[in-house]
Amino acid sequence: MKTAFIVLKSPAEQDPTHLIKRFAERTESSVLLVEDGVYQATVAVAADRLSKAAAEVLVSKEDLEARGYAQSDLKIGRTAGYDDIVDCIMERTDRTVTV
Amino acid sequence: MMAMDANVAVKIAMAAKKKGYNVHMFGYGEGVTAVKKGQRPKRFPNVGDELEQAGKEGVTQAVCETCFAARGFERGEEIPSAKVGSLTNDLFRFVSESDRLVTIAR
Repeated sequence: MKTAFIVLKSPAEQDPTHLIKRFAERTESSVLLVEDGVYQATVAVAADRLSKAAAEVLVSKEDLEARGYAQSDLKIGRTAGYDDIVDCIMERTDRTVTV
Repeated sequence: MMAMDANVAVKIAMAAKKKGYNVHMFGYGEGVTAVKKGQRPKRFPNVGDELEQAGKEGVTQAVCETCFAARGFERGEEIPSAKVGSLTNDLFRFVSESDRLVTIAR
């Protein structure tokens, strides 16, 4: 089942990939990074783990820029507005899991 | 939704509303504080005002009465757009009427 995983915590707080891998196959997993979750895409080790757990990684542009980062700082994924995040939740996946 | 996560919940809710979806929001645990009337934050967004605006644009809102009372709030202390309701009546109805359930919590 196609699943959107919302990640709110930084890699210092949590490695979300253990749970992601148990819920869905990599090809059916999309990860939405918001709040401190955006750091999962700026830290190389965390980004590498995500690349093995999810086929799509969206990073909240607003939350990334609020922390002084930009698209060019991402080690994985792409920036997205909340409208794109809603599209992922409503159109591209069948369920949402908050990690 | 809980605590500062309420801001993210409102952003997702409003983005969905702007795309034409019907949106319900339910607050429980610390999330009930988001609907407290009279919030005056100095350095971050006023989620109470944001929720009131969302209510005006058609986003339905309710919070758990037990959680609300547990934090010392009385009925009437909530913003006008929010209902002090219950898990059994409001949350279950919201879930049954919805295509997606998004939980914002730590």
